[in-house]
Amino acid sequence: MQNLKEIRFVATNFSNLQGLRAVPLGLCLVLVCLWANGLQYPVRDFIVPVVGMVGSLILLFAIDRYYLHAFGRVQRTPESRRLEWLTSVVGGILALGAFWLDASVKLPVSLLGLVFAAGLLADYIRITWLVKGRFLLYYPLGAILMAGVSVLPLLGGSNWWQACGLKNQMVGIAIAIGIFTIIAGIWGHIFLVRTLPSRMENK
Amino acid sequence: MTTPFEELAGLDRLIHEPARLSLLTALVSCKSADYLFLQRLTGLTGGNLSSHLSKLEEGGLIQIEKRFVDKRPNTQVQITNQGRIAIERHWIQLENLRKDSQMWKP
Repeated sequence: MQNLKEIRFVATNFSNLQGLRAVPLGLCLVLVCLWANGLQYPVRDFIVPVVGMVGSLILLFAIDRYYLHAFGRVQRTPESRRLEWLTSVVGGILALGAFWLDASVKLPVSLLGLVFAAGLLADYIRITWLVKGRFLLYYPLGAILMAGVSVLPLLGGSNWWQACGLKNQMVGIAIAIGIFTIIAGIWGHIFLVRTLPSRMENK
Repeated sequence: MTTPFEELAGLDRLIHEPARLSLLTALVSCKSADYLFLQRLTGLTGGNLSSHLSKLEEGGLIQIEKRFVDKRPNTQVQITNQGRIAIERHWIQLENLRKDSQMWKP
């Protein structure tokens, strides 16, 4: 790797670039949403969410070991940690509030989707704040797409989730978040592999 | 007033060597990094990386800590305050040189 800006970006955001770690979580979210979509009440069988969560935890552990042994270990600066902690806490509180409003009030938009889109933008600003540069453009791209899907009912695309065979908007948005998480994770991993190739200089 | 050539000659060669500049740039962007990460980042062979790290350590720019993680040897590298100041001063020098070079006349 030659570009000093790229070196700074990778060293600053090494943990964010370990994209495969997000894939099991995305898969689990999609699986649980599809399970919830086909539920018949009263619910007696919880095998799918339990297997999904246990499976994703095992996968997460294996992927963690893979990154450690293939790419090494980097400890972030306290400044970078603080920024991530702050955006995670604020994002988590906003997502919970949006989920509660979506579930209790009938709105023409998905607040959860809009909060996720805003979170992606905030995260993009966070990871490029310390190192200026155009990296990981799938963050703003995903934010635009997610915001678009969230306001679809307002733009005349009402009940789009039914066309996809889903029960309600919340399930549709959660599946969209899961799919985005999987794609973004793979994209981030490809970026990491390209910027940290395993080839060595010629002796 | 220094001439452009004096400014160029004034660059610290310990830092300006491309591999060492890459190493210090990475280390100033994080708290610490291990040997494997630095090797993948620079693409250097094990021997060359060790040699560059030793030179930087001798210059007081980095600290090397050897330890065991999960019963495996692990070398952790951290930039020192002196190293942080040196690399930041080096970037300022490079930036000044870049600006000045636009005014150079043949």
